[in-house]
Amino acid sequence: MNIYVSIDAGHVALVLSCLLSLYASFAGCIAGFFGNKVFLHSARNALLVASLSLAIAFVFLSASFLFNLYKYSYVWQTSSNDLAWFYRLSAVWGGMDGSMLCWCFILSVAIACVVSSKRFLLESEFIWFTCFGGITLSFSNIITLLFASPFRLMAGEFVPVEGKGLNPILQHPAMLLHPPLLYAGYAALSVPYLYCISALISGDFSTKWVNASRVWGLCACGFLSAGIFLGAYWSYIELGWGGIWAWDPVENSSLLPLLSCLAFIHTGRIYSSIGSFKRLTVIWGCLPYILAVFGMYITRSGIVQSLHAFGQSEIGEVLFIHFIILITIFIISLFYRWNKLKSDVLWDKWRSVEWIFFILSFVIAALLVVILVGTIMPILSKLMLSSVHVVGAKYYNLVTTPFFIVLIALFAFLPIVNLRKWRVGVWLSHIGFVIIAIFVAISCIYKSSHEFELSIGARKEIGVYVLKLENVTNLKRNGHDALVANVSVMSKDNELIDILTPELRIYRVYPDRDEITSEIAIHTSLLADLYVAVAGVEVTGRNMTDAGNVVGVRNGDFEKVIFRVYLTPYQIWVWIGGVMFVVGVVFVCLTPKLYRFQKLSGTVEL
Amino acid sequence: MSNGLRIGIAVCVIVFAIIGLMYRGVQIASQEVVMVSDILGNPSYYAKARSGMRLGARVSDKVIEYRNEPSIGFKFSVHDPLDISRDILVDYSGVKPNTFAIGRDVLLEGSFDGNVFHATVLLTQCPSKYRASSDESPL
Repeated sequence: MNIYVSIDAGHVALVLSCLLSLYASFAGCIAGFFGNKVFLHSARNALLVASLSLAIAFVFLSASFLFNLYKYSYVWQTSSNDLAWFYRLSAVWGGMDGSMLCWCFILSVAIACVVSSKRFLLESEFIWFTCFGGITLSFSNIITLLFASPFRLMAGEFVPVEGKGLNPILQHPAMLLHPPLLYAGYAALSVPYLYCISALISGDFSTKWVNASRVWGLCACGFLSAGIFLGAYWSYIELGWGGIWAWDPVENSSLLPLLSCLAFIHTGRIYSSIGSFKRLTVIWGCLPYILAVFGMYITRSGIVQSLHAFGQSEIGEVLFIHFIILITIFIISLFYRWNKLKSDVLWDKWRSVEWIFFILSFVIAALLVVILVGTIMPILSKLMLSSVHVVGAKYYNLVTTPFFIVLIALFAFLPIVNLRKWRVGVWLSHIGFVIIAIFVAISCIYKSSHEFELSIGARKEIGVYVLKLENVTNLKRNGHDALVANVSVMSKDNELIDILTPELRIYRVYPDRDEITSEIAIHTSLLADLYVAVAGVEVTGRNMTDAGNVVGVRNGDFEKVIFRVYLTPYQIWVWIGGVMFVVGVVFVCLTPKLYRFQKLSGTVEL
Repeated sequence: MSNGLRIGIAVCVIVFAIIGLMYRGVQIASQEVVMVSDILGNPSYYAKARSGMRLGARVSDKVIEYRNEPSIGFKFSVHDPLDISRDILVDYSGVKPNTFAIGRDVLLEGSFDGNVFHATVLLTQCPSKYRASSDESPL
């Protein structure tokens, strides 16, 4: 009973956080326009308590999943009694409501980290940071509270004894971290945006805020890239289609902020070192967060058709208002200070490094435009034509290839022209990026796919490998039935290389629905991945391509297995490049030199 | 010619090249998004359509027929999510995706011959978006 009472406190905490963030926006505005320090301090404290409230709400939601409190509709929809405790925790962000609360919580932590510090910002900047931080957090809180609250009760106050369960394909270790890493990345991007806007309004064109916001940009880059790579790995391992990237609007929505953040990190370095690229740095500092919110809008409003979309819902309109406010504040602030954002060094005095960074900015801008146009093609075509059109992977592969080639060259070339100053982390991340880009291109071009049937004992030649179906077994396990195919991988000389056991799993989802998942098997080498998935079976006397009907079939009755096989060259190098990139960014983030900021004269005393 | 002018001309050339690239990309990869009601409302127009189509629909329970010859594939019927009265038959060449099921939303890419939609791509929507339309109760 105590648990029930305390869990309800989650909703109260969410309401409190919403009210406090609204108050922080209001008090921050008053402090900004009238220079009232009392309001500034109360706005700061309100943001800190709002963050604490969201932490409480998040902990309560997590507890309600751990204790299977199905009185909450959201818990009932995304969890079940037989889920392992860590998957129950990951179910917190397994649907829209919980993911919105997770996003609010991480965003509030990022904002609280900055406002709790006494360093890096002038008092005037601090005031505006608090004000706009409050506005940003308010929007997220309002959306969660009014349109996607995970604390809504079941209709009729009925409390079920069992939940509907987390979709089996989301029960994967990568899914424990993929969503929160992306949210952490987006939340970290909010800080450079808020720093830039605060600096523009208060007219601070020094380098201190740039250094501080670059650290946040680097953290965002680390979180986003780790999140994206985990998502790609999950897609490859779990979805059975053999791919890592589908150019889906949701995927593009995470790539656009990452690319623009990369541009910010690089131009910001020139700003902080020689005082050049001020306008570019401010633009690149604001764009990633604006693009992140825009991505949330197009994927959660249902305005663009997506494989991942969270469906059409009311939150799209609020997110659109949030996006418009963010971009309006950015444009007005930028034009207000445009003339004062002149570089300290004229462009005809630039060294080779500045030119490379300028070209990098240009290439990333071009990439953003072509990817964005493809992503919002349904909206553009609806406005310009009478019908709705979409573009597929062919479009993206054609239009992005030239720019990625230039990016590879630039990322490979940069450490060479500036050799002495570069650290291990920078080298790792740059080489990692080049490896990813090259091997993604090679694996996409030379990947081959095969769909075929094999009888027990039959063989099939795939590239340099020969597959032989040894037998098929039907197993009953805890929580699911499994159809396991034992496949020998041999060389053309009949030398056994590996034994693969791809599976089809049939999960019985509460109350009476089956979910079928492929547990793929991969033979990995440095040269290629042999990716084997069971797509269906045939049973003696019955044409049973629908694998959902295999439950109860005797092992001896299986006649044929339908396989889906992909031979992907150099796939492992994509993962190696990904790990190098993320580890490199982490190394850079941990460089002590980054944090040696001098305390500004006239900084706010709290 | 000043350096500024040279850079301006270079930027203009690059911008036009990017626009040309995008135009070409749209030309070869553009697909019209249609619904079942669009196709059934004007079947002769969509049967003559040169470019491919992307059909967003929901799998209905009227027809699901599997075949192994001459190639692996199956036929099924789909309807609009909000209008279950009219169905269209889909012929898909390929193995049934695991997440394919009656009532599931699918995206189909292919062409229409006047009677049947021939799908070359069949994608089922990601379960992460799954959410009941209302606070349904198991009662």
